[in-house]
Amino acid sequence: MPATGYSFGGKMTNTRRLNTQEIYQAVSPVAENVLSISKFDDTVTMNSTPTWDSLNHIQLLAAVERHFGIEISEDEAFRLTSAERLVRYIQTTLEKGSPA
Amino acid sequence: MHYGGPMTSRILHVASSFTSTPLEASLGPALMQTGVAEELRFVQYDQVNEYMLGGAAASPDSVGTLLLIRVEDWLRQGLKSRENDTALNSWAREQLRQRGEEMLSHLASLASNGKPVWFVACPSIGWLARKYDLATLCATYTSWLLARMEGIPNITLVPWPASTLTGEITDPNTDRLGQIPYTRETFTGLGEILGTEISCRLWRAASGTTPISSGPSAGDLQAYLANLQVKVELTTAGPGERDTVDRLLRTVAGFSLKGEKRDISESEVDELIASETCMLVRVADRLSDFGLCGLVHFTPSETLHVKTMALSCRVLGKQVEHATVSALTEVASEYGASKICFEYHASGRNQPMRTFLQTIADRVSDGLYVLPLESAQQRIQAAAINPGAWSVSCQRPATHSAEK
Repeated sequence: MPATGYSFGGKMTNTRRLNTQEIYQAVSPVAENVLSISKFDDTVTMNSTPTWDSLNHIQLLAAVERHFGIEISEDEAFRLTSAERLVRYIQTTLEKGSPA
Repeated sequence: MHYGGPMTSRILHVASSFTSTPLEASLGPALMQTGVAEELRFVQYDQVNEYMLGGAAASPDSVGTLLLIRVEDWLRQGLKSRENDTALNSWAREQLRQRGEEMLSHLASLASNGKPVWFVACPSIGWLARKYDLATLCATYTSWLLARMEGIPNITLVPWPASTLTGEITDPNTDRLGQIPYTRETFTGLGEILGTEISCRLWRAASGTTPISSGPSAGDLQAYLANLQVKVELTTAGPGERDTVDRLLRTVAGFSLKGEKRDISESEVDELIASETCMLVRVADRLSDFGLCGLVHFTPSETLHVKTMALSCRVLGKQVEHATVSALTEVASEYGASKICFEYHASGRNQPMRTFLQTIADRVSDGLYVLPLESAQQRIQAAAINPGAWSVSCQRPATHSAEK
């Protein structure tokens, strides 16, 4: 088998399943930067975060797309309104994209 | 966003074929510094035509309009249903020509109100143009549009500042997800440049070196609406439309009785659909098929209690709200109801709904607006800009069915 790591900031190249904690570690700096918040954890939701408005929502999803090399469908985009949902979605999408 | 003194606002309207609110961070301060405008007011990208023909642009507190058009945006809706269309190119060509002609007509109307208009033809180098290989065609029609604009009074053509904007100009991810075509850096640079351009022009006008011609507004919004041929169809939501119901409930914020319900549970959505009194609103007009972009949920009895009514802001300004309530009166009539009660709950962002209700219904309390059926059509007609310039149909299962 080739590499077992994961290349962030580009197209998906992982061959290993990432756990929830690892996804949080990867997505937190991105989200904290876009949303201008100090901590992005499982308590963060769109409702509880004033800077997470509709405009920043798009910026956040776009940053996540770029970072993980995934494409978020327009239909799903509006559902990803909490850190928990977003991380779960990233994890599921990455798993679908991983080699069998 | 308001930047200056609270008493008298000078407003610059910003209308664009895409989401342009990121301009605010740099354009707002640039205008405030020179004192030429104190407020920016953004027009929803699907309501640019209505804005150009409406009265807001000509209001005394308006200093003018900044109009940013990227012609590839005119193809966005239609392309969704033409993924594998072999005649895509000829369809796109016809669309661009039609929309361009219409833009020119509306622009002349906008400019005739005497307020300056700054027009920026933004290059079609975005996600859609690249995906469908339409950049060249769009560039051709952008040039054609600009050539046709020359000579229209009160319009300043602001060239796209290609040489000033550096780095990555476009952002295909935000463009696809939210019709936000450019990077933050591009918006920042563009806002600064446009702020300078607009300030200079307004200062020159104020000092009398550039006269602004004035003429009566064409006032042809009525004719536009009549020609738009808005069609509104209400259909009972079934399990197959669950995702659409879910999306509308979670996202529609402005024109909604209860505001957006981001955290609505899955079971609540299921219950709503199972009730068989949740109806989806499909909207189309001569220019676009907007698809399912609204919903109404009610409980019928002697009074039709409307618990949820939400319309995407993309279709407002076309009298879709009037048509929807008009259709609801038919539903109420079928149930033998004598009035419709709208249950309103202020969410902080759903003021547009309250404003609309105040034009057609009697306010019983902050949370309840009543529309008597006997005078409903009269009231709807009185509140509309062009009464009856729409057609409605209701398709409901079982014994309830109405067609107009």
